[in-house]
Amino acid sequence: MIESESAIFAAIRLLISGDQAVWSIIGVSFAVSLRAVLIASPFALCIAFLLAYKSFIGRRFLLTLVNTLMSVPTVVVGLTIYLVLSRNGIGADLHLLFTQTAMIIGQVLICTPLIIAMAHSTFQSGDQKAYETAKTLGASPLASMLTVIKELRFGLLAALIAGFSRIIAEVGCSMMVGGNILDRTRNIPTAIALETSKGEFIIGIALGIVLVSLTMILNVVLNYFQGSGEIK
Amino acid sequence: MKPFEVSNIQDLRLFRGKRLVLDIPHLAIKLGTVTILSGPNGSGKTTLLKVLAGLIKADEGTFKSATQEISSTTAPKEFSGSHLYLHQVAYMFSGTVVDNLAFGLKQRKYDSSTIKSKIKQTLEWASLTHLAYREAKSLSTGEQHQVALARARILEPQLLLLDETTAHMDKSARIRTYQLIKDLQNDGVTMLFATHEEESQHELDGATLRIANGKLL
Ligand SMILES: Nc1ncnc2c1ncn2[C@@H]1O[C@H](COP(=O)(O)OP(=O)(O)O)[C@@H](O)[C@H]1O
Ligand SMILES: [Mg+2]
Repeated sequence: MIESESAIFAAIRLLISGDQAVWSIIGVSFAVSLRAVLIASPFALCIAFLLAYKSFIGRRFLLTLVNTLMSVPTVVVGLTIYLVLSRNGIGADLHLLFTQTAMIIGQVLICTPLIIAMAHSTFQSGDQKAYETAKTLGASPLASMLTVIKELRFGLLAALIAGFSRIIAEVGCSMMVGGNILDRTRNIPTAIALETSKGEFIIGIALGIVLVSLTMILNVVLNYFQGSGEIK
Repeated sequence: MKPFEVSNIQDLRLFRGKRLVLDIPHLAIKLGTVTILSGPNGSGKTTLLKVLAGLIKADEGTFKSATQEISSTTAPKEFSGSHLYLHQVAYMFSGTVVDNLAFGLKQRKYDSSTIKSKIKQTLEWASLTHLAYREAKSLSTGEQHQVALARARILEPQLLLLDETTAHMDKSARIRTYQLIKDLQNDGVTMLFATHEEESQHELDGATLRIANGKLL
């Protein structure tokens, strides 16, 4: 008990001391996952909007596909990208394996279905009259969509935060396509896995603290936004 | 379309599933008139109004536009922002009453001083100046309808499609709303007013068009 307590203090001390390796790992996590969410969001929001507001052939199929993709394990996403980018894959010439770009591709694929599904339900529960009102007042289809997004910004932001929470803590895909290279592709989850396997618990605990705090902060923010979204 | 008409449709048919919910061989709305579209719940009033506004695509039919003799199952694009549909329960954008009035003007890319003066004048017209900076969603149903009417009038529309505007109002809100509609009528705004109540027919000065099961009688 005493030992694990002192390990936690040591971990906190490590964080506060500004340990270069630890903060580099945290930096990689944010650099990769923030970019992944930013890249995924516009596309995911558009698809979610179309699913909620337009009827087209294949709509039901697309919905089922999104829900299926949402539950594909991240290692399978990693494996797929690995096969595409590895020496014998069709994307071998891109030389992207074990780069942040590969990790971003993986995380985009992982968070997109989740963001689509959550944004879709936000669009569905929102007042359909917003879109019609915008249109009838002379807004173009694109401007009307942007108006609806603005009207539902709290719920949609919650969808983006949920997507971010998923990928910042994701280990399977990052490990496979990133390769866990320090200062380049080693992020919080892959570092925790590595350090723990080496018996270096203090670094693992320090990074765990960062991840849990972050998740907690995001959930508080999420709660706040979801709460204020309900005010009619 | 004849020059004294604002809307002209022919052989309009609209299905919901296999059910024919609108079947209208011909409907022309004359400039400057007020028409009361009267019919029971489920008769197709809302659907017809939305088709006329271009919010719903018809399955069959021909729209005639003033500028072009094009035939199409959707209302011509130029009707957007000009043939305005007002929901049975008005939708207020988040923001103030002023933000709501500015919405359509911004779509037309008016400059900010024009927007300001139009808003001021329209607020005065609707006697809503005291609510200018109130959060629109926080207003009463009646007030929201008045904001919706002001938000439509500010665009100087050709045709207003009013969907049971007075249905959920108390007496005093009704009186004020009828007054606004009469003002619009005096300004020469063409209107189609859907209702399932007798009262509106007494209050408004216009011809009555009856609809039942998607057919005009
Ligand atoms: N989105 C929809 N899906 C299926 N049926 C609809 C839809 N909207 C309207 N209807 C049907 O079309 C008919 C006409 O509806 P509506 O135009 O709302 O009538 P009203 O406004 O006169 O009450 C009704 O039978 C209604 O059930
Ligand atoms: Mg109706």
